[in-house]
Amino acid sequence: MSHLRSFRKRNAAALYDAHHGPNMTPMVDVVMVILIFFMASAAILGPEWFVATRLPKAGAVREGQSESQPLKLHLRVLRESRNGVDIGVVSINAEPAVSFDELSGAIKAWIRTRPLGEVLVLIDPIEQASYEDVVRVHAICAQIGLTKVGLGTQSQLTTSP
Amino acid sequence: MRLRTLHLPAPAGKLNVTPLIDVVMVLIVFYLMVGKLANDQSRVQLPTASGAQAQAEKGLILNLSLDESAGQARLSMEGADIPLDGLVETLRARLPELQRGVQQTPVSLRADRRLEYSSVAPVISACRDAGLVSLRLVTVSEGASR
Repeated sequence: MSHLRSFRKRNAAALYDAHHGPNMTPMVDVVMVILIFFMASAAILGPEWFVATRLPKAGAVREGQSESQPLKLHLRVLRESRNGVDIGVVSINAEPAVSFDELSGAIKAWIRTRPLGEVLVLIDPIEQASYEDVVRVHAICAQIGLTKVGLGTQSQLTTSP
Repeated sequence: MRLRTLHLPAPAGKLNVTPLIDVVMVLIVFYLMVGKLANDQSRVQLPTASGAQAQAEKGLILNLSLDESAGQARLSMEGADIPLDGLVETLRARLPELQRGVQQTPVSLRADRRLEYSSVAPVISACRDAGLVSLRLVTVSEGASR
């Protein structure tokens, strides 16, 4: 008799919990939406990288530089029409321009023919040069191991200290 | 006499709206955040480059986007548009250490890859005039199109 009385006291929700456990559906709904949110955020805010350029004051010369003059590499970023397509090219120290694919090898060859020492790079784009081309040249310099890279601007040209 | 609690079944047609409210609230937060991010950053298509360094500390970020309707560059910092003429003063106000000739906070330039360099160079000049000694040009790795 006692077990019948206790059975009578149960309601539908208590019976459901006893047989099926807590209702997980709302939690799964919310977790799925949060998951989609983080996936979308990761797609929008993907990993970002940077190339570091230095911005010294023009004419600023450090003390002690007079004895060992660093090598200066002047990279002029140009636009050139090749096979009817307007592409970015780079002229090294006013020599005939090379493509981006050839640039790394050309810079290494230039450095090999010079005495060992610090290399200062000046990237000097023309006004019509694409910003992406400038960053690409900067990244190629970083890949080679040239860390002292400056960017030329219209008002004045800058070099790394 | 003790009264027993009567458990009546829920009337037919009455919906449990709690899960619906949960999901709707999460969706509202989602659209608010995506809307803010889209305004600030996603409109800048970053250049691709290999050999760049990973961006650990973001510091101060300058966004230089391409306003496609006007065909001009648009400069913004921390969500607010700023004129190029006022960039030097804005940077000096935001980074007071520049007046002592040092730069402790890294400054990153997120410029759109579709811009010509002539639109980016004045910003770099203004950064140098403000007293910055280094500037990070933000990129994405090759293969990631943004």
